Amino acid sequence: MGGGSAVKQYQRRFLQGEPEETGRKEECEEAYWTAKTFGEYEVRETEGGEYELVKGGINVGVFSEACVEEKRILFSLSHGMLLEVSEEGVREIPTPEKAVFFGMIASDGSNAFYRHRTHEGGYRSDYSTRFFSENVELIDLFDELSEKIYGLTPHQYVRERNGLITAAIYSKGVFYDLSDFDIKTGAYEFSVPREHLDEEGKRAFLKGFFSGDGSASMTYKGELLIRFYSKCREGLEELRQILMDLDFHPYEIGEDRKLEGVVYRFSIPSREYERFIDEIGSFKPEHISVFEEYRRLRSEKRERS
Amino acid sequence: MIETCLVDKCIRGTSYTGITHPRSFCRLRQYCPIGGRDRPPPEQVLPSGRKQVAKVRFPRFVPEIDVADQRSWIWRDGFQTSAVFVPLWQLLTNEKILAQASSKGLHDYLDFDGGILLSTVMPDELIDRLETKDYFKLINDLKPDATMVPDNYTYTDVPLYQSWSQTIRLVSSANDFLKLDTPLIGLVKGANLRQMDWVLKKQVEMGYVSFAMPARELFEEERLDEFLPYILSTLRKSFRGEKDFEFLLYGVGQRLYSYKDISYSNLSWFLRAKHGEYYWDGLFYDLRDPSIRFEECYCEACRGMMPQDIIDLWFKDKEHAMRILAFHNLLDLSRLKRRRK
Repeated sequence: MGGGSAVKQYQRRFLQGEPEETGRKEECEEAYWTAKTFGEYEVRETEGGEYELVKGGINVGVFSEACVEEKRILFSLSHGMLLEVSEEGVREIPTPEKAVFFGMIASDGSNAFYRHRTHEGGYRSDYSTRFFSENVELIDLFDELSEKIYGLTPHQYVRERNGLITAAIYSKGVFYDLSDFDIKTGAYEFSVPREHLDEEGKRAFLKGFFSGDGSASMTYKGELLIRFYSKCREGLEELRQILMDLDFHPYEIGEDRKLEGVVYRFSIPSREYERFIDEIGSFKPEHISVFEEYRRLRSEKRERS
Repeated sequence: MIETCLVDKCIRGTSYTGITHPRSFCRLRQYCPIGGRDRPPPEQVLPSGRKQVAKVRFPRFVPEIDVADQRSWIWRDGFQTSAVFVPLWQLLTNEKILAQASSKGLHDYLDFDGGILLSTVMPDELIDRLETKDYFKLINDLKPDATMVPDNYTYTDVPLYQSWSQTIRLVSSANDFLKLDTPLIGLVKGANLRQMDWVLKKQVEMGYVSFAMPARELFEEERLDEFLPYILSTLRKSFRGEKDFEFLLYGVGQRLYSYKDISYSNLSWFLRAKHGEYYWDGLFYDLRDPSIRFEECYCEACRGMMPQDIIDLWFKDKEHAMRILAFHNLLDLSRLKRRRK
C-alpha cells in the first residue's frame, strides 16, 4: 500500500510522523527491557524513557512519551489523540480536551466542505469546521481547544442581528480528522464515537455536548431540571448509552413538537443531579450559576432539616 | 521533486515520531550509517520468464467493495456491475469471512456472477507477512477471475536501498505469478521514475498487458502528475497500439479528465455515500453544496432526483437514501464524458 512520503503515511495512518529537533546524531541507544505485557502486546522501554510497542515480535509503534497506569498504557499521538494499550487490545482515544472539542462540535458545531467552480473551469474546495454560540466563554474555550489540539486559531464572526458568534477553522486536515470519527454526520445530525472514548473521554464529551445543547434550569418550585436536547434521535440515544456506561440512569427519550420540527430530549433523575454536576458539569456560565444556585438551595435545606 | 532521506535528516538533527524518533527504536536503523546493522542482503534480480497473459478487460470504472459491509454489494439491490475489486487485506484481517470465502470461493460467498478481481494492495505490515506460496494458496481457495501481483511499499523519503529492494521483490513476484492460470494484473509502483520505469518494462517483457497503479497517496500529495504522464507514455511506446494494453488507476477517488482511456477503481463511491457525499462529474460534493444541491440527475439510480431529494429521503429512510447515493456515485464515476463544461 505504501507509496508517496513515509512521513505523510505515518501522519495519516498512525497520527505520528511529526518532526522533532533531536540534535546531530552521534550514536544510537540500543538497550531496552520489557516494561509491561498486555496479552499479545509487549511494551519495551529504554533507559532514556523511550518506548516500543510490539505484537507477536512485530513492531507496532515507537513512542517518546507514555503514561503507565495499572491496567493500561497511554502513548501520545498527534492532534490530541492517545494510543491506549490494555488487556482488551489497542485503540485510539482522544485526550479529555479533544473529547470536549468533539462534544462541542456534535452539539453546536458543523464540519463541512463546499466546492466552488473557478472561471478557468476548475474548482476550489473550502473546508470549514465551525462552532456557533452566543456565549463568549464557549467561543473562547473552542479557540483554546483548537489551538491546543491543532495549533490553529479560529476566525471569529459576529452576526449583528442576534449576536451569534461563529468560530471557524478553515482546514482540510481538521475536516478529515473529525470526519474520521463521524462526529457530525449531517445538518442537525451527530454520532458519538463511543468505541474511542474511555471513561474520562465519555465525561468530557458529555460536558462539551451539554455546554452546547444541554439545559439546566430551575423550575418555579425551585427544583433543578437537567435535559439534553437534539433534533437527532440516534445521536441522543448514543448519549444516553454513554451516560448509562457511566452508571447514570437517564429517562427515555421524549419529543417536543415545535414550529421548526421535532426536537428530542431526555433528562436525568433528580437523585443523580449531584453526581452529574460533580462528574460532568458544564462550561456554560448560565449552567454553572444554576448548578451553584441548586447547591445553595440544597445546603440551606439540609441546614434547616 | 527531490526529498531528503529521513535517515539523513535524522543524522542532521530532525527525526520524525514513529519512524526515526525515538532513535532507540528507529524503524530505518538497518539503513543508518551510524549504529546501523542487520541490513538485509541485496535482493537478486533473477532472469524472468515470459507468458502470453490474457487481458482482464477493465470496465471504465471497477467498484471496489467492502467485504465486511454488505451494503456495498450493490448487485443485491438489483444494480448491475460487470466487475468488482475485492481487497485481499479485508479478508486477511477478518478470519471468519476469510474462512467462509475460502471454503466456497469468492463467487459463491458474494453471490456475484460478474468478474471478481482480487486486489493485493494492503498495509505494509501485511505485505511483510505474506510469501508467494501464501498468495498461491489464497488465490487457489478464493478463485478470483483475475488477480494483481503482490503489492510492495516504496516511499519517496526513505533510503533507496529499501525501495529498490521492494521494487525487485515486486518484479520477482510478478515472475512467480506467471505460474498461475488466473489472468494477471501487473502493478506500477516505485519511489521514483526510474523504479517505475524498470518495474513496468520488466512486466511488459514478461507478457503482462493489464496494469494497475495504486496511486492514492501520490494523488493526495498532489504528485501524481509527476509520474502518470511518463507511465502512460512508456506504456504506449512499449506496445504497438493503445488497444494492446489497459491501465487502471487504483485508489484515486476522483475522475481525472486530463488523462484519456484509463480505467478507475476505488471504494470512494461507497465511503463518500456513507458520509452523505455526492459525485458530480467525477468530483465529490457535500449533498448540501449549493453548486449541485438543486441539479436534477437522470442516472439509473436518481431518475430525476436532485441532491435535495436525497437529503429529504435521508431523514425518512437513511438506508434507502444511502443505497441510491452509492449507486449514483458509482454511475457518475463510470461516465465517459462530463455533464457540463
